[in-house]
Amino acid sequence: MATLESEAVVVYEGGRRPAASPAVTPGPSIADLTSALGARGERVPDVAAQARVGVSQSSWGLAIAAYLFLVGVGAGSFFTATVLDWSGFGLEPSYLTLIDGWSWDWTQAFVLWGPAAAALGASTHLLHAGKNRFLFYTAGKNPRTSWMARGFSILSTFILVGGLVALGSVVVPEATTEYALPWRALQAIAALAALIMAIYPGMFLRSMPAMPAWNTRLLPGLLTVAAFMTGSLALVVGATLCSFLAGDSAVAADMLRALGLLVPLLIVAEAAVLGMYVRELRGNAKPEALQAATTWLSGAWRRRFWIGIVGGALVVPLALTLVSLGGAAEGLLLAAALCGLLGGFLVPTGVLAIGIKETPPLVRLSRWRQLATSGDLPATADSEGRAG
Amino acid sequence: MNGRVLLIDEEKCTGCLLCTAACAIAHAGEIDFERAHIRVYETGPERFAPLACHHCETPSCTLACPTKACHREVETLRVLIDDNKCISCRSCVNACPFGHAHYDHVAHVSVKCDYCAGQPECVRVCEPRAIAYVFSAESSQHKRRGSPLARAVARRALAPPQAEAEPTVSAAGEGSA
Repeated sequence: MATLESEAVVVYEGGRRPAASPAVTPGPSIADLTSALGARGERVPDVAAQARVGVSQSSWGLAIAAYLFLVGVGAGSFFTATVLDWSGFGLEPSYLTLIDGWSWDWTQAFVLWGPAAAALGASTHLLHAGKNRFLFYTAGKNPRTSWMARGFSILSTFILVGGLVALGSVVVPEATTEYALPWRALQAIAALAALIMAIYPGMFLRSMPAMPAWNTRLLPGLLTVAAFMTGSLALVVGATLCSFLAGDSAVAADMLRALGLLVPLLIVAEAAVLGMYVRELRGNAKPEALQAATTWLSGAWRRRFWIGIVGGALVVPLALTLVSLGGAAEGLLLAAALCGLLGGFLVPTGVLAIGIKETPPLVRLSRWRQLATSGDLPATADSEGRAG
Repeated sequence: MNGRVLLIDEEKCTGCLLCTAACAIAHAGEIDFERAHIRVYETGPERFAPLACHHCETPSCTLACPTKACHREVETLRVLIDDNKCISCRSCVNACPFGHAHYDHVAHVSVKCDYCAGQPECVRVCEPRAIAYVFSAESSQHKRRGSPLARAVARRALAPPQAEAEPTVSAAGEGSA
């Protein structure tokens, strides 16, 4: 790592001088450069912009948020649908005969679309990549240390095995009973991959050590519960659509009843983890974490946080779901699901928006010096200016 | 590490941006500060420091890179990005605690300082000699900067190289750091 040698001299550890001949041709003279800079009027640097102190990361935006959301929803819905199916709360089969003697159970397509959603998310990530995006198949080369590489391998497994399970459930439904044991094994592998994929977005962001708002213990929990919550809400939409198209409410009655109980629990869990996460950010010694919390609570993101996440993803869906449990109109659960899904998209988007990189050490040292000179240094601050 | 490193003296840096401009021209062919691999940071009132990749011993960028495009070169121990392998996921950009991997919005790959294959342009153009390219063993003697010995070492490290020494910069007529 870089070592801070003294207040003024910094030494950066590097490699030996390369034996190869210089690859860079001699550049312009100092006079030419000075002239060019002077003509551009950029002699004085915008140092605040250069250092990017307190500025949210801009590398990952809406495309990556969509990727994280779709992967989370897909994995959460697939895992929940599989567990519900195993528990006897699955959809009633409804067959459609396209070719004589070959019946399709079309209802499964409305709950086992998780791998397709994950594939769509992966494609948004692919679009976000640069010139070598079609080398995406090499993204699993460094699983020992890179969470993105691990995610690539697990996501591929989920899309392939989960897709096979979904396709089999729809196209050859009788095979699921004829070959029950191998089918259950395949389902278990897909469900396990879905479970890991639901955990993955949080672990992926947590692996960024320079981002105090991401590098926390609670972020994986927040995004994992969000994945299951939005996945369950998406299942509500799928099951409701399915019963509507079948013209028989009995097709999805068991699943909707189970989801009506599960969804409020997940929303309460999400609210609890969100509260703990924000509390952790506010209590974090690093100023960027506090800045991240402020961005959500009272800063640029306050409307989207309070109205979109707290209101749209938590309060309104919870209220509607609880009312629907009392036997009110069935459409309430669907309204809760749609509202929750819209709000749920703001969770990964908001997390990416508060990815504020920790201040580089030199600038941090300078801040500490200024604080020390002005006498505003907190009594418990350490040598890097962190409040204790 | 028995290699060569960039030695930065922030007391000498005037924030003139020549290093950034030279770096941008060397790597991007134009003066576009967003494409330069070295950036000037403010370190205090009217104090600046040009900072580039630290080539860390345990680089966060190589740990985060999914394709191993960001790797340590075995021969020189430099941390480099192979732009033929980089899929521009920008993991390295967000992983680096010092903000020294950048996304080149024109080339559409991640980029970082590579010491210009051993002849850093930033060192060549730095008029106040705030940047030097020295052996790390030599530069490590700066640890106690206040001592007369350390000051003498610092002067030698930042002075133009002797004829028998390995040159850090070979620009004719400009001398070197």
